[in-house]
Amino acid sequence: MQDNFTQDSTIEQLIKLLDGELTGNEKAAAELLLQNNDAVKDRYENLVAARNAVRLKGIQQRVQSLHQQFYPLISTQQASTETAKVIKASFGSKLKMVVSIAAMFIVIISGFVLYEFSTTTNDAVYADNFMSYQLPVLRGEGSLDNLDSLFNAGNFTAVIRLTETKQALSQKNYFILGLSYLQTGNATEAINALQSLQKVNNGSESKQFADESDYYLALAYIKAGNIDQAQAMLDKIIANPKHMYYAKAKEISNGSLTILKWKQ
Amino acid sequence: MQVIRDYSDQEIIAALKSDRETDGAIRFIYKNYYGSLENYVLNNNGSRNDAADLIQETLVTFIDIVQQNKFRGESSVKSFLYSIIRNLWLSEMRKRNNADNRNRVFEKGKDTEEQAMVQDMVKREYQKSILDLFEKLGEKCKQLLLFVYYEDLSMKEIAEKMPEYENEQVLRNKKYKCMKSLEQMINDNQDLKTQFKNALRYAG
Repeated sequence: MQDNFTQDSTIEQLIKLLDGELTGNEKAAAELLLQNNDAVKDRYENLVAARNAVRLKGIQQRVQSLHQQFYPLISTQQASTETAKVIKASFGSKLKMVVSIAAMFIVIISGFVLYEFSTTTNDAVYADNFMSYQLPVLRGEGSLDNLDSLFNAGNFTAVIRLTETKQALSQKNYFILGLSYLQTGNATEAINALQSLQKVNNGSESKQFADESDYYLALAYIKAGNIDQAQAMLDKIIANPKHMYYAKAKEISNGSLTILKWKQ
Repeated sequence: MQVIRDYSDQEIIAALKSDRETDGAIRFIYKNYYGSLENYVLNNNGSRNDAADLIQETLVTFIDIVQQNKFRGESSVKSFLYSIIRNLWLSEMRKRNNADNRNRVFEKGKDTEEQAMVQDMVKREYQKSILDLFEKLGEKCKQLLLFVYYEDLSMKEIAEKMPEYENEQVLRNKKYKCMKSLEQMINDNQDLKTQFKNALRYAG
């Protein structure tokens, strides 16, 4: 519905002001009106918001278009790392078909179980579930110190060397140290560092990297072959649906960890 | 296959401010930072689809902040992208956990640059509501306003792209009409301003 403002063409003048189309007296008059009339000022703010929203729409369209170009490449890379099984069959009678399908299922399932059993090892489960961690370093949370920089740059040996020279370690130091040990394949020392972090957290009101340390400690236990301790840690995570690693812990616990327990 | 050249942080910022270079910088960000941004969402109970949506929103937010000259380069581009996606994901989680929460609620910024980012994201929620109104305009109106306010084309250039309009004056009149319609819809929607003011209060 049109109102008085649009009827008397004030809006049109405001659009011209917004677009820089007014000059001289016209511009001065429009600016004066804006200063002295709150209702007009509100309408002008609406126009500014409208223009900004249109700009945002343009950016969205552009990013979306590039995303559509880029995303298939990522999906292809992800798909190539997953196993795809294609089954092609040719059958005669219906009975023969049913029997053949059943036999094929038995063969596939047996093969799958055997394959899973033989390929599921501590190292494989660890490697499948380990995700490299990037420190979300933000301004205001302290500047990016040398240790953080080395860690984010993937120089884990230097992180370990530098940490050894420190007299006292913070919760973050322990976390970075634990993950650096994991990255360099030393599960035992990773367990020590992450357990130390959890001890400090237990005695402190400020719990830092609490969820992260649960998950990576479980992975370190798996890598070190301490499956019962890994299970206990995963159970702790699964008991809390709001835990950051709830879904991942559930996935490991229900799947590969069961096989690792059979193999113990 | 397109070769993506390397950009320093300063080059990314300069490229995002230049229409011609923007696509190259976005491609570079995708190639180099997509994985770690996706990891953040996956590590925090998100799915790959969540990550894909959030990363697009992160980039839109980042480009908008850069184009408004609000990014002063006090933190690295990577860290800044990380703080945007972290904030977006936290607010998304809060939103999902609270069915009554119509708006996203963001964390208070920890310093001036982060506060600017949070304010920008709060405003973006408001702008999203305006975009819903924008979608109600006719296709020609939407196209015309995008040409004017996003691509920054002159009326002469737009006239070449929209030959169905007789001349530049007809186009100019059409632009006023489209903006008036959009403004009128915003003005008629009383909830919008309340929503904006409430959201700003949370942003601190």
